[in-house]
Amino acid sequence: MKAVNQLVNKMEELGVDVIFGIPGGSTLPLYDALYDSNIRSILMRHEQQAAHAADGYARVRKKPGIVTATSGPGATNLITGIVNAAMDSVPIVALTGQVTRPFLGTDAFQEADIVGLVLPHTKYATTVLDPKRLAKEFVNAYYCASTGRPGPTLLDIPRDVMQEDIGNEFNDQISPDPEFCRKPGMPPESEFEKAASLISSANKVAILVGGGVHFSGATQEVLRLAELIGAPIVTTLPGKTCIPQDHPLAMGVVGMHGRLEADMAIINADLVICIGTRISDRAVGPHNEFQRNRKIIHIDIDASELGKNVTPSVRLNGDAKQVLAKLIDRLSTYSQPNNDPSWVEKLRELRRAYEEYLLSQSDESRVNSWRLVKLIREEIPRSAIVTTGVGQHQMWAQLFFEVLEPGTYITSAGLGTMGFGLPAAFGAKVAAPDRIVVNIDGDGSFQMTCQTLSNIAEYNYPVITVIFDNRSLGMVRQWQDLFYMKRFKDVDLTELTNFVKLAEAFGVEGVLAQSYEEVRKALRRAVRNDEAIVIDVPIDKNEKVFPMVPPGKWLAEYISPPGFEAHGKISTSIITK
Amino acid sequence: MARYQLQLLLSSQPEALAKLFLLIRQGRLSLLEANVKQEESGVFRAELLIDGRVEKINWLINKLMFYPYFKKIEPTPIEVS
Repeated sequence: MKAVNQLVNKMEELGVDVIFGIPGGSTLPLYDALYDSNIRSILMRHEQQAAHAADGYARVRKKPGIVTATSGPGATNLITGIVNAAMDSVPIVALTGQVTRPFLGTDAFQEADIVGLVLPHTKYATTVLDPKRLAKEFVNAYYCASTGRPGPTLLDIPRDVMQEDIGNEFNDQISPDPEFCRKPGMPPESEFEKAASLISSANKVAILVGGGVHFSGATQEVLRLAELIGAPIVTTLPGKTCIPQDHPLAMGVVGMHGRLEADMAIINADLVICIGTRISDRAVGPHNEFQRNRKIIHIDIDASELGKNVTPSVRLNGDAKQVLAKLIDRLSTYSQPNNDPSWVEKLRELRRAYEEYLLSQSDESRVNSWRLVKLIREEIPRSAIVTTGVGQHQMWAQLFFEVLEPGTYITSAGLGTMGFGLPAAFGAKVAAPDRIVVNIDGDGSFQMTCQTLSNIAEYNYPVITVIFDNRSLGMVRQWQDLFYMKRFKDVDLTELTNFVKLAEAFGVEGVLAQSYEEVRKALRRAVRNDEAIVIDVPIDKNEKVFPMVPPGKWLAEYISPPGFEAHGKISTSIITK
Repeated sequence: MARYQLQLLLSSQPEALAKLFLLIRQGRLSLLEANVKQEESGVFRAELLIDGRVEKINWLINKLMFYPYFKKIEPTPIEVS
C-alpha cells in the first residue's frame, strides 16, 4: 500500500467528507488516492479561497476543515487563510505537497519552505519525511487542530513520501500522541469560590463573551449565568455568533464599533466576567483603562491568555461550558445577587434612543446601510448563516445584524481579512447545504475573492451575496476623512466594474437593486428558491460607521453620529454612575 | 522585570526548536543563554536563560504547553543582583 492511500483511509475513518483545494504536480498522488475514496474534493480557484472555505466549513460543523495545495505558490497562497484561522481559533488542517526528498533544500522548482513560513501561526506544522508516519501525522494534526483551543495545523508532504510503498503489514489502529490532544483540567475549587464571592458582592456585573464560547458550545451556560445574576451580555466580534440577540439581556458587540449599550455596559461595570476571549484592544480599548475601577474574572481554555492582556482578579482555566456549569452550581449556594436590575433597563433605554435617532435620520431617497442590514435580517430564516467580508459593511453588520441562533454568524475578526466573506460562505454552504447562506460584502472585499462565484455555480451550492457598493475602500476612507483631514488617497474604486455582469460571467445571477423594495424582492426570491444571486446595492460613499471609538482611546470616548450629541447627552445621563 | 531559567524537553523535530525561538521573540523576551542537546532517543533537551516582564514569561511558560512540540517545562526564577 502507498503511504498516501493509508492517509486517505485514515481521513475517511476520522469522518473527513470534503477537502477544498487545487491540485498540482506535488499533490498528484493525493488526488489519485482521493479518486477512489468517499472524500469529495472541491476544486477552488485560488488557495486562499480554499483555506477560507475550509474555515467556514469548520465553524459550521465544529470540526476541522481540510484544505490542500501544491508546493511553492500553492502552499504560500494558503498563508492568509491559515493565519486568519489562527487568529479566530478555527480548526483547519492544511496538506501541502512538497518537492521530493532528494530535492529538498535545493531551491527546486516550486519549492517553498511552507513549514518555516507558517510556523508562527499554526498549532503544529511539520514536513513528513517518513512515509510510515504519514497517517499518524495526520491523526496528530487533526486532533491537535480541534482539541483545546482550536487552530490550524499543516502537514508538508514530499511527493515521493506520498507514493512510497509502505507494505501491507502495519498497525492500522492509530491514535494521537498525548501531547496532540491535551485537554485542560478544571480550575481549583478556591478559584470558583473567589469567583462566586466576587459575583455575589458586585453591583454591576457584565458578561463579555468571546468566540471560545462557540467551539465550547457554552451558549446555554452563558445565558443561564446571565439570567441567574441579571447581568447584561456583551460580545466581542467573534463572540457575536454565540448569543441570540433577541435575548433580553443581550446588548450586542462591544468595542471600536460597538453598540452604545454594550460599550456603556462595560464602562459602568464593576465586575466583568470574560469568557473565551483574549480581551483584545479592539473589544475593550486600552487595557489599563479596562482594568481601572473594575474587577475581572477571566475564563479561558488557553492558560496563556490569562494575564496576557489584563490581570484578572480570578483566573479560571478550562473549557467554558464545564467551568460555567460549575460556577453556576457554586453560585446557587449564595443568596440573591446584588446586581442592580435598573441598570439593565437603562441600557435597553439607550438602545431604544439610538434606534429612534437612526430612524429619524433615515433618508428614503437612498439606501442606508444600517437599514439594509436590518432588511436582510427580516428576509432570511432564523437559521440562515451569514458571513461578512471586512470593512464598513462588516461593522454595519456587527452593529445591526441580529444573530438569532448560535453559530450562524461567521466573520474574519482577528486578522480582518478582506475577501473572507464569499469563500467562507461557500464553505458554510458545503457544510450545511440545507440552510440559507448569505454573504454580506463590500465592493472592495468582494473583488478580492469573487472567483468563488465560479464554485458556487459549478457545484450548485447557492450563496446569496449582498454587496454594500460604495465604490470605495470605505473603512480606510472613513479614517482618512476623520483622522487625515479628508486627504483621500487610493481609496476610491472605479465605477467601471459591473458587478451584475461579473456575476453573470461566472454563471450566477446578478441584480442591481437601488431601493429597499428592489433588494427585498431579489432577496425574497433567492431565499424562497434557494438560489445563488449577487445583489449589488449602491450606497453613499460618505456614509460612515458610527459610533466609533478612535484607535487607542477608551470606550467612553466614542464618536457619536453627527446630530446625535443631544441624544448622546441623554444617553450619558441615562447610564453614567 | 524577571529572569528565569527554563529547562525544556522538546520533540525531535527541528520545527520544535524553531517554534521555541519564535515564541521567545513573540513574547518580546530577551534570550541571554541557550544550550540545546539532542538525546539518544532523539528528543531535544534545552536550557534557556531569559529576561523579561514576568507576565510575558508566564505567558511563554503557559503557551509552550499549548503546542505539541513541547513535552515538559521546568521554570526556575533566578535572583538578579
